[in-house]
Amino acid sequence: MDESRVIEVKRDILAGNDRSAEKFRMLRKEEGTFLLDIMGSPGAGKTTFLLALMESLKKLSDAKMGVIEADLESDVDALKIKAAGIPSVELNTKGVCHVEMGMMKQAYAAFGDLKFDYLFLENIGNLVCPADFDTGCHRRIMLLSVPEGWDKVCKYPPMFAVVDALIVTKCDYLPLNEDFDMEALKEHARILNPKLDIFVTSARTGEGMDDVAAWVFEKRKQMLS
Amino acid sequence: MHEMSLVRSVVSIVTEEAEAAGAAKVTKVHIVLGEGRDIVEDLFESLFQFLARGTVAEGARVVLHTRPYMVRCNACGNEFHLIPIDKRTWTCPECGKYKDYQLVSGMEFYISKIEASKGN
Repeated sequence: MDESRVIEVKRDILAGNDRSAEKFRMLRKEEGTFLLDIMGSPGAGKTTFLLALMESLKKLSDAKMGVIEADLESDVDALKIKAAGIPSVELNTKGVCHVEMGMMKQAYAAFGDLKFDYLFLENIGNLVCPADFDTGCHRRIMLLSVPEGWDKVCKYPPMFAVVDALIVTKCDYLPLNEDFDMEALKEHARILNPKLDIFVTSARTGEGMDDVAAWVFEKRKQMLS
Repeated sequence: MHEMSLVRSVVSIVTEEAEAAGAAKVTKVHIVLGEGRDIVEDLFESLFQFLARGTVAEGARVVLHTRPYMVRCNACGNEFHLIPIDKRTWTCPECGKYKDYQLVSGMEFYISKIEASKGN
């Protein structure tokens, strides 16, 4: 008769994506390309931040830079990057809420023979799903804008737990948002991630951008050493 | 809706393991899930039923075992449950050290075992 049996599995559900990401990361490292995954909610200011970051990085070195613009539907962001004279590839996920390795490899291949010192992935605007998926980048950062409120750290703890740095954006809005408790944000963000680096910036005024650029520059140097 | 990608991977692992073990039908899939993984359980279950159709795992029950955030105190080694939004849990209940720990659990996401009926 029908006998039940137990099969021990112990297999990580994300292992397929993780393995592919690790290989991709190694290959880019060998080429000297530092990959940075930029995450944050819709409207956190990812594209504007990225444009300002690349300007600041240009002051530090004559680096070759490129951008993978992940978007659910449009090419709005990719066009902004192209208008700034930066090679970019548009990665339309057609409604998928995160980027995973299959998409990432395709997007990278679309650059053809172009090689970069820095390659940025502007991830899908979402504070939930991208946290789970390794995109093969060397470092991951997340943006939280002042208008969104400091308490997002309480509502989306996994995202704050998986990143190397938290960038507070639109700090020029601080005088308009009295409820934004910077100290509480910093304290909570480091609860699950005690080593988290935190920067307070405004792409519009340029505040803090050189510090972020220096951090990115340093992380690439660490990768190469 | 990242559950779709995750469930696709679950179905593929389960069918691979069941077939390798010569199982005729999978009845239960046990998944260990850390608190730090944002998964909609109902959606996960119904997607599984959908994607497992026509495979050896069709109709299997998904059993989720959740694991809380656990940290190990750097000072005394005691492990305790951390609730990110509750300040009272940021202090080691054993030695009283405040916010000095490493995360040891809460990000799990793996298939621990499957239950199957024997093949012929």
